[in-house]
Amino acid sequence: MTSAIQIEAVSRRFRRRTALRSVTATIPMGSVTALVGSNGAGKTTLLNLMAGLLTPSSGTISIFDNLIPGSMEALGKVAYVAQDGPVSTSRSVGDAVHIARAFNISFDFDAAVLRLQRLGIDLKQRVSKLSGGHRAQLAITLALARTPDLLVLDEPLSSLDPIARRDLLGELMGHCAESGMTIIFSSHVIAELERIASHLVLIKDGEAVVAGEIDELLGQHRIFMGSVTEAELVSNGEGSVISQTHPVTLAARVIRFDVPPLANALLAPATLEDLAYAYLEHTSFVAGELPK
Amino acid sequence: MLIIRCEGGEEVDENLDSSRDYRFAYLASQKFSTNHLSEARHQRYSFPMELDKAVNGAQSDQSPIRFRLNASSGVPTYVQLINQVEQALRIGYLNVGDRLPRIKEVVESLAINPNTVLKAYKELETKGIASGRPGVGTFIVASPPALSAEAFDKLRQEFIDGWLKSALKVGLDHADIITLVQSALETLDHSSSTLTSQVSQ
Repeated sequence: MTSAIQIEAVSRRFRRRTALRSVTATIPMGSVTALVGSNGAGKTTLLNLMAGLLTPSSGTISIFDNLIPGSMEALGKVAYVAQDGPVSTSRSVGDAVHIARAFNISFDFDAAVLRLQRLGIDLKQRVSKLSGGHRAQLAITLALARTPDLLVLDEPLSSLDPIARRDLLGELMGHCAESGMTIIFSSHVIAELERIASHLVLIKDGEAVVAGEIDELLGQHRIFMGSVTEAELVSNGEGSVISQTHPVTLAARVIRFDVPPLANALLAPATLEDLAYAYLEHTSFVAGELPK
Repeated sequence: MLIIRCEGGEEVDENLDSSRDYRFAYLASQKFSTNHLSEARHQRYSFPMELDKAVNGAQSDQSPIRFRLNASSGVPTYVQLINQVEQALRIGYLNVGDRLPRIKEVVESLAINPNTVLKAYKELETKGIASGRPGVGTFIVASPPALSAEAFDKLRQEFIDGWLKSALKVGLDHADIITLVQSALETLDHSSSTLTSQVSQ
């Protein structure tokens, strides 16, 4: 599979703060990638870099055939919906659609109007009077009407109700099936990601701790329940322990399968949720020492 | 798909007279009493069914079935899709020549990744059950090897009389048993992947 986004050793600093630290990841074409991480981990910074709204302090990021995000060629292929769905608020919904059409070379005006009507959003209403959910839907409508090759969404679900969430995810997956559109989105709702995402990038304190295909990742991880220690697991050839939430529960990365299972541990498959929590909870600093 | 609210163990909606609907009434809830359970079993053995029969009079272009997902089952989504196709074939909702739902339809209605559906359909092709015709759709070409109701009952009875009885005797409760079975299956997967990796080497 050719890559849609190539991120190589990308770092980004904001004055004194380092938001991203040497992130390397490849997002394949046609994939649906979930970007997961705690608040302030650097998700939005990474998405802004992909959209070309920020440039890396060091490292390189390119999309499709070595296009630089933010360049004219790249802008025609990428649509970005930032958090809170920002659309010019002083005008009507209809005006917003007209403005988007005027500013884009390719824009499916009819599809945009149809989608808004289907969602019951009045074209004459002012954007500032829309509910949070409808405003997010307007931003998503404008992004989809540009028929992008790469759709970047920053927490697209946060302001939507459960039905709207499911409908939107279904609609996005329909676009993927039809046009092979690549989607990358950040979210906190891991259960929803599991069904739609094919790839996962886990960000912690500005670093990509996990990046890869979800099925592959799940196949590499197991949960051990029992009175086993990390040393026992390692000596049995099971690989490293990602996190231990309880004296008798370990989330371990299984790197070899050609070993006998341990007699004193129950083995359970790891879910995406287990995996995300195990990596995000894992602390790299020594207990008692405060992170700088 | 019918969603039925059950107040007590004994209630059955009288309107559900056709055997097919009756089976769904049973399958829609775990709360029916055991005599309904055995009745349903007599009709055909009773796997929990998550499948939806498309509304009658639908366009001939449409697939006879629609998929449903059980998010809390822990069964991978693509496996659920495969199971539903096989179950639909066993109970005659799907027949040779029928078309499976289009990938776009499935992903839109279930909000799942297109690759998941592709993976399920590919696996059905590998099993020789379905066959994809580019640009037309995926069609059923054969039925899966069916387990007869007698064979199913026999396996079930053997499990109850043997392992389950000894597990209950030593004081395991339902949750313990489920954990043990899951762990045993996981160990089996673990060792079978060892076998495959050894074979491939």
